[in-house]
Parts: sequence; C-alpha cells; structure tokens
Amino acid sequence: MDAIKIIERLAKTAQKEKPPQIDVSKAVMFEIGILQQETTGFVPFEWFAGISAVAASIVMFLSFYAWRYIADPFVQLFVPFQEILPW
Amino acid sequence: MGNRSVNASVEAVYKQGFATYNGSVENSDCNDIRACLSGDNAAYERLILRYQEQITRLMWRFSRDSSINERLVQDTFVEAYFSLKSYKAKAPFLHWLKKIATRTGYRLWKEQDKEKRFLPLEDIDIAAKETQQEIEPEKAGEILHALLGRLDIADRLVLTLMYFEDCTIKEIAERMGWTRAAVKMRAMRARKKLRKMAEREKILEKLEWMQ
Repeated sequence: MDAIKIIERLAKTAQKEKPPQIDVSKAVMFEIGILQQETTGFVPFEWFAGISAVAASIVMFLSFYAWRYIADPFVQLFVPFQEILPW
Repeated sequence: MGNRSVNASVEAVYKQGFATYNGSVENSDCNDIRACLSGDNAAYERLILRYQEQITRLMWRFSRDSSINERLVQDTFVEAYFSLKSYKAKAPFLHWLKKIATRTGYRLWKEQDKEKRFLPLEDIDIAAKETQQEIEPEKAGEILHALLGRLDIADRLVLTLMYFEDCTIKEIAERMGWTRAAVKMRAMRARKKLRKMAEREKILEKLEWMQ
C-alpha cells in the first residue's frame, strides 16, 4: 500500500477526534472590553495629532513665503561691491 | 454602519442557498450580528457560544497544546469582533470565522517556524506496537499532526486543511487569498514531500497493520 493511502486513512480516523471542550466567551468579552478601553484612550491622542498637523501646516504656509526672501549669505558678501564698478 | 443592509444581505445569502437554511440558527446569526454592530456585546457572546466548538476543532489542527489552542480560539473571536464591520455576508458567518481562524493559526506556525520546532514522531513507534485493528482517532491525529509539522508551513497548511477539514482546493484558496493554481501545485508538491518523508521514517512498515 502507498504511504499516502495510509496517511489518508489516518486522516479519516483523525477527523473523528474530539478536541477538548472549552468556553472562551467570558475571556473574549473581557479582552474586548480592555481593548475597547485602550481604543477610547487614543481619542485625545488623535485630537492632539490633528491639532499638531494644523499647526504644522500653518507654519509651512508661512515659511513658504519666507523662503522667497531668504538670501544666500555668500552672495550677501558681494552685495556691497555690486555698486562699485571694476572699470 | 447600515445595520439594515447587513441584515438584508445576510438573509439574502441564506436564501440564495450558500448555506443550508434550517430556519433558526442563521436568523439568529443575522440578528446577533446586527445587535452586536449596534453595541450589544451580549449578542457577540451568543455568537461565541454558538461557534466556539467548531473553531476549537479547527484550531486543534494548528496546535494540540490545550493552552495554545484556547489562546488561538480567543484571538480568533477577538479579531472577528473588531473586523465585524467588514463582514459582507457573502458567505455564512462560520465560513468567515474559519477564514480568520485559519489565518490566526497560520500566524502561529510562522512564529514557531522561526524557532524550528519539530514535533517528535515517537507516537508512530507506539502506534506500531499496537496490535488492534483500528487506531484511536486521538492517536491518528497526533501522528498526522507530527508528520505534517515537518513540512514547510504553507505545504502543511494545505494538507492540514485537506486531510483534517476535508477542504477543497477552492476553499483553501478562498480562505488564504491564494490562487487555485498555487494551492493545487502546493498540494501536489506537499504530497510528494510527505511520501518521501513517510518512506524515510519507514511509516509504511510501522503502520502496516493498518493496511
């Protein structure tokens, strides 16, 4: 007989096996309760993150305009000499 | 979430004949899912009590350690609770639960695979010494569990679902989100590996009384 046939027969027998009887309902509901409490604790954090994002976008908006007036300090060194004609 | 639409779609599934309609259990599922989505946790407890036996049975194929088995069943129901909104009622609730359970069990195997833990095959030697004509289901389960535990986890999953749960290629593919061709190929390769392994371990000789 083929080994696979033996294994298939083992599997057919194993299907009749009765696993242990357990009741997880109370434990599951308890865990769900804890996880839900943890989730509600995250709400102020989400608010905080939202406010931070708004503040960051305002700063970015302002800095974008400020960027146009930023000059290269190296170029600034030569600004006074621009008016002096070399010839 | 539109509870009315969930209710209607759950009922529609059973009317279309995806599951054998027995007039009470499925309606209870439908009512309990609707109640649970409205915040009634007692309804979810009823769902757990209704299906924990089937889920325990499935998880027993992933771990034969009672404490790990209990943990897996618990994790399955906790995950299902937080994913309940995503249940589209395209199949009976038990099918959806089994999908979550299978993936939970597969995750455990992935973790165990990192540690490269192998189950002993001593049970086969014990079974070999038995003179009775029929092997006990528990013993058969242990032997098969230990044998399949030596395969790659994906191969192991395919054969576990095929042998223990009588799942078809299509069902395995749907449960794991794999293609049917991939599952078919894997099943074929896994059987080949299993045959080689059985020959190496001389299982045929040890269990020849079963022939």
